Amino acid sequence: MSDARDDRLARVIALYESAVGNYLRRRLYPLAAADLDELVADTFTVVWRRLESLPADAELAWIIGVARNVLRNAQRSRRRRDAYEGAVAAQRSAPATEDVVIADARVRHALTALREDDREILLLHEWDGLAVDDLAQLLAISPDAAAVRLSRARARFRALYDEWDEP
Amino acid sequence: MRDAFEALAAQDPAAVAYHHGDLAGLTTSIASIRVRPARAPRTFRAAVAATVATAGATTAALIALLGAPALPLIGFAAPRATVLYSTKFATPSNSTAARRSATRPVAGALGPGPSLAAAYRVTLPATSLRAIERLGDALGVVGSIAGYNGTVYSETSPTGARVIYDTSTGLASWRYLPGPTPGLTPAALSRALANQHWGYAPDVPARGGSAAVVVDGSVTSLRVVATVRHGHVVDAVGPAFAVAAIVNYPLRSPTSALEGLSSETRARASSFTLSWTAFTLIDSTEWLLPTFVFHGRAEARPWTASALAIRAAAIGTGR
Repeated sequence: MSDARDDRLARVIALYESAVGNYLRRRLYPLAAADLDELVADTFTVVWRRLESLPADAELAWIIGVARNVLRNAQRSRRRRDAYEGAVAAQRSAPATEDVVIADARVRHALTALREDDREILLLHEWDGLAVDDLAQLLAISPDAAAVRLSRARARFRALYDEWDEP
Repeated sequence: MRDAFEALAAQDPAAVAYHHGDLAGLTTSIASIRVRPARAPRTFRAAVAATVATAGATTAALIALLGAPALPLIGFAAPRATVLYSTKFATPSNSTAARRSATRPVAGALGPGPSLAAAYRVTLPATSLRAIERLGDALGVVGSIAGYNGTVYSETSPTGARVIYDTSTGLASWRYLPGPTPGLTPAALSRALANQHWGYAPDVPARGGSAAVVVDGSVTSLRVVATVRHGHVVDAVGPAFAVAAIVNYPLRSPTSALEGLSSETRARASSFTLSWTAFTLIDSTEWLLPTFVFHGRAEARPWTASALAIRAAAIGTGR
């Protein structure tokens, strides 16, 4: 059991370490860059514990889903701690990563004006390179629904981008 | 005007690919975690690879950028390219007058830069299977070869040492993981890699860390990254390529390159350096192209942005 299990973990890390790190880096705020390695380790630790659940035909989407949960938990903990320490007031709607790291004001405008679910599927496709089938697996929806949602999100993003006038 | 999705791709915060600094330690620690009470912990054979280059989807966006008539701002921090950090401009070789003209130190306040610089077309040095065999032989890692998706190959010795050759994204990369046994010293690893017929002489940092890849005297944004413990390498990674052609291009001035960028970027940029960064062109060829890296500060923190130092329309023409 253990050899096959170890080999599978080795292969999984070989293939997806960079994708997981990139996914987390894109959405890290308000965590610090110094937290990135720990989040990657936490993600693959969960993968290791649940290796038998990893679907052979959708490994990347499944692992990105794990990273997504790990990141959300860490961000929630961080915001709770910040609120407790009084560093920032607890907010119902904290700024998204895109608000902080996007240098292009036009892109930032279009992204922040999108609904959260539209923004998520758009960035998973455009930045993380997930195809429709992967999006369906990750978001627990049908491939047809994923295709429709992605198409809608892309159309809305393009419209928001095109309507923007530089101040 | 740029397409909305090109602009979005150019703002990817992960334009510089992530790599964990100690993959061997990471995998060892994860695999030592008990997943069942009856399972005895044991040492896990170090076995990890990482990509060096770009994600395929984002490369497509860059291809589109390079095909555009106007030079765009490329990326939030650095071009969507091969490895890690921007580097300072350094002294190219004196083999041609053109390259010599690019050797003038150009870091500092914005102003006239060099007039010419070389671009390097790079290719895979060998087929993946042959490359992993050569690499394993050179590093003393001889054992079973495994391939994943036809793009990532690894060779694992009976002691758990492993070499990996990854062609899945952009430029190929190599990785050396000696596993539980003492690995080569940095100097020995550098010597062993020197015979791989790559387009550079790998310089594995003696105390670990990263070293810029120098191609024909030009300091690139590519890096060789190594972890060294007690004088021995425990993890090292770097790019693998052969230089197929060298073309000299006239450079735009840093000021004119800035003019194509946003007003916000123009306001922030106070100095620049010249670096060489990997790009995939429309015809799928890989190039190391001269790139301006603009430096400044934003909200009291260091800030950089990048732009091609040559006109996109000139690529492939040498003019």
